[in-house]
Amino acid sequence: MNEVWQIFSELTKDKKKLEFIDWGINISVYNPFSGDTHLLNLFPFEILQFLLKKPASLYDIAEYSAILCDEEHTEQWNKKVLTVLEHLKALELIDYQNKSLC
Amino acid sequence: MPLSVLLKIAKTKGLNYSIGPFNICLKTDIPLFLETFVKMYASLPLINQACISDFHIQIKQKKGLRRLWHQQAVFTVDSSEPFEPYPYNLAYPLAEWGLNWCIALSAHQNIMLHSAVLEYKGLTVVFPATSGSGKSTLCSILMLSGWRLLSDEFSIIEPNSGKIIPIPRAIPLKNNSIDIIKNFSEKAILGPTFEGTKKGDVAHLAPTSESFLRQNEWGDPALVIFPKYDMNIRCNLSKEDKALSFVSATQNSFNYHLTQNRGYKALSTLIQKCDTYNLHYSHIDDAIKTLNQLVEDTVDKKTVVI
Repeated sequence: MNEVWQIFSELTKDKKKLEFIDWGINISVYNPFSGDTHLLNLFPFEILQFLLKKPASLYDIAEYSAILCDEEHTEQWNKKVLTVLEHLKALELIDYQNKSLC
Repeated sequence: MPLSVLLKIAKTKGLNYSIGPFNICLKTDIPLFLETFVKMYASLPLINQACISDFHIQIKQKKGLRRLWHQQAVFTVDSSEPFEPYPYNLAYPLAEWGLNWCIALSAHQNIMLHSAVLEYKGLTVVFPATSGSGKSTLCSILMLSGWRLLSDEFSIIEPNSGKIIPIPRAIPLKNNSIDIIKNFSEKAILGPTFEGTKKGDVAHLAPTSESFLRQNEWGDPALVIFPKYDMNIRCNLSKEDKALSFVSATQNSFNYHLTQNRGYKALSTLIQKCDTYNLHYSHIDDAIKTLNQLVEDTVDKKTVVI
């Protein structure tokens, strides 16, 4: 639980930016690091937007998204958010740093 | 020009011609190949003055003793031989596939999409599709019904303008499609049937002269239609979700990753400005009727807006 989630560090290192297009229900995101394009729904998109402002802990992301979705911030909700974060990490859109190393 | 004279030129300095934005210098010593080439590209003017060629292509008989019992044809581009020799009688399909390969490997300043593109009543329609979707058959019949062919195998999108650069080429028909096209129209100019290629039986259909004459007129796409032949379905045209259309377009582009965010922007612009549809059909006549109607309705809609 010491991780701080952030936009994929290789992107920020190279001063590259994710590019988004809103298609209505879905949003496409272009990752200039991998060259891949992904289609996201609103929930992971809002998490990305949140992380674009500043890196955040799982707790903070879950807290923010719970308010956004009008949900209670429970342990179950944390797990749900963590699953989304892991997916976004697999797509090389985000990664995390260990707080103790910061 | 008589074939014997053309063969003499083709053997020595080569035949220079343009397909869309590409200048090609073609040399060959295979009369059968040249005969088919002339039939396919009869209305394409040869370039007489000196020009810089994008591709120097040679289709020649393989030298060596083996030719005494098994003749082979070799495809060479800019002095390199990218493929194994083909049986001599398959020189023509080898040349067409070889030119596809040349364009696909070198036109990365543009976005290439595996799709047919045709124009009807001034409206450019993109048909992205993979092999086996019936794209070439549909494309051939539309062309023989008065649509202008911009491309069959793949389309080239100029990323700054979003327009389609025509590359009208002979359309490779496979297996059952050959007879369908033969029976569809007497106007169809078909080359010989090459039996037993890796893709089955293949015969080429010549583009219409209008397609060649207007090959420098870029198309401004207005419709993107994903066609799918399915023998068990009634003809059905339905609006396709834009986000899914965009993903399909990226998957149909074979240089999408190489073109990076230029490709992302070009394909997203294409989908944003076009109406997108799925077309499922079993009978080609129904498909043509549906497409003609759709184009006419779209033209009417645009006219009202103006």
